[in-house]
Amino acid sequence: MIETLKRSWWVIFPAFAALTVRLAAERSCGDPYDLLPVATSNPALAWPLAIVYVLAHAWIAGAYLATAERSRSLVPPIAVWTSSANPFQILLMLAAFAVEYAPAALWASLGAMVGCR
Amino acid sequence: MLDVLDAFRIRFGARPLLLSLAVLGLLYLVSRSGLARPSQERWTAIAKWAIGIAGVAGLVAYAVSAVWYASDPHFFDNAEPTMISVGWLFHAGQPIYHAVDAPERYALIYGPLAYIVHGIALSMFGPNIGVSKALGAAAGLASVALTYAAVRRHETPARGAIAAGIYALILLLFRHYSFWTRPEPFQLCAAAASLVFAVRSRGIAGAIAAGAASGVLWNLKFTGPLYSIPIFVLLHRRAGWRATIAAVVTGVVAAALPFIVFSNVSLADYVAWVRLSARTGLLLSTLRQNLEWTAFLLLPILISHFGSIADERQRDSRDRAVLISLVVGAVGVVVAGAKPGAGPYHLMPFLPAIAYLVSCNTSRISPASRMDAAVSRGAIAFVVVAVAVATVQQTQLTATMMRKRPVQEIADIEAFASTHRGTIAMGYGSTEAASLARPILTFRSNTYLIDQPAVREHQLAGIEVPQSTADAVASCRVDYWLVPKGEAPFSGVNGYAAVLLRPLYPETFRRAFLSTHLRVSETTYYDVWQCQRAGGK
Repeated sequence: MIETLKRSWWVIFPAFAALTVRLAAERSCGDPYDLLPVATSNPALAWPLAIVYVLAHAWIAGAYLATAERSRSLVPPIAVWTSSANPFQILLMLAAFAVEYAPAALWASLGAMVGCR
Repeated sequence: MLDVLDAFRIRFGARPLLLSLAVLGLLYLVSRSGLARPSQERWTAIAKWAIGIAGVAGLVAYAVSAVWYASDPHFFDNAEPTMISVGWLFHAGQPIYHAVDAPERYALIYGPLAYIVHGIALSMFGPNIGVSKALGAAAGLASVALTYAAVRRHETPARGAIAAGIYALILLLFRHYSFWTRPEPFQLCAAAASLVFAVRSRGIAGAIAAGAASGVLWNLKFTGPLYSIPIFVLLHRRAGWRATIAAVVTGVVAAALPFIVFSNVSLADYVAWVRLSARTGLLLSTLRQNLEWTAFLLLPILISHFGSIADERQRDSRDRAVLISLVVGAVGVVVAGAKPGAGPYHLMPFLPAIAYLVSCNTSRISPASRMDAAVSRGAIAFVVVAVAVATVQQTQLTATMMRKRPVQEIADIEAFASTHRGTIAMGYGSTEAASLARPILTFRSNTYLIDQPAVREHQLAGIEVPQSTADAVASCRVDYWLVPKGEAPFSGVNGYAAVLLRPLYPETFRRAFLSTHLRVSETTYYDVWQCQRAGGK
């Protein structure tokens, strides 16, 4: 499982990171409830976006499960995370998730500050 | 107090995973603080009490909520009356799916059994909204009983009842979706029945019964097969390939049967509407919500897995295959349920299988065992959030229905209908609340020209109200339209983001209506618009 996670990261992370940055811009300057409306209303574009989005979630869930199984604990200690085979990959993916799951109000205020809202 | 609960529901009701993590963090801080430092035994005891109380509360609250909702002829949701009206049309021999360019505007993408079951019940017990509402409640309650039967394979009666109670509690997180008059109660019932046959019955007959129940599930919505994946993996684990293939074949036959048996159920038209609906794309905000809910609903499996991890001897390596199949099915529904208007409630039919998998894990935990403190805290966090969200959702349901209870629009419609001849139909104004009693008119006339929730869905899929509908209206196919009082006829706008505020009815339709209809009187709740036939009536 670890090997699959390590290899798939190179495909999933860049796409997900790019998507989260685009979505952050959308939340800052556009409608936070109808993100990327042109792309998502077209099934040919919506499907790849959904696949990237879901795969990133599956990746982070897989990384958690692998770490939790290794530590045999629901809440693995930080030491287990840092000693895992791919700590930087996990860290970068978590950073992308932090951007994606940051409160909408933060992006709205950022948009207002920049003046695109 | 109600305002506070409503504010909590709006802010956090849709984010149970994040709430659970927040509560978990809080419990961790408590355990680290000098104020209270419960021992591992104490955490285990607190978790067991919390689960027990929540389970009992879930059973009681679910039964009360479902029966109470069924006892009131008012609807909460705009599309609930559609199911009943079209169900009655089926009974009257009318098509469930009209052609895309037909004058009628009521086809939705639910499978035919979603309507047929209502049609049969209404024909057996009489055309009455209460019959359909009781049917939804009965199906929801039956799913709880069937889930209990499934978890009893591994658990004692008391622990099985608590597991079924937690299942019922989780259903309450989805407000009344598990006992309303739309397809979800039937889905839950079919999924739980299929699970019971898969894990409890023996021989080929059990496999066929599991397949038949799954076939119902597949027919109700086109995403149905995804819910059956973990059930069939469980069946395969227990009964082998032959039984699984028999179940799949039976399921396909059961799912196809309504299209073959009934001449008024057109597969071609159903497929046409599903394909049109697939054009609508998806919403990323809903996709994220679905993913969060999936993780939240799978938490009990994770928590119970780590709670039972000490006893590796009894662990079956094939558990992993069942779990993977569940996740694969859930991911499919997560994406399919990200369509505009869909959402996390599409995950509900996985709950019986989730409850069963949790019971597989918890049955390995002996009553005297001490759980890891993190597991206990996780269980407490899950239960606390489930109780909190279920409470605010049920409060909203209760408050809304209490406001509707005194409204006597059904008696108003019946009084008008009993004194007027000709076809009477429900018209729509700028709002929809007063139009929800429309099945009463369909019961009388056996016709149903316009269903506004369907019009809204069609517009989202790029299909406007056709000229044939305007022609039918102008040619007095309906003699009287009851339009919510004081509202301009057919002045509603679409609420979906992609077509936000677009008029639901084209100008040509509205002109055709206004040029051929006259507001002739009013009732307590409606303006009466009469069609003026050429040459006078």
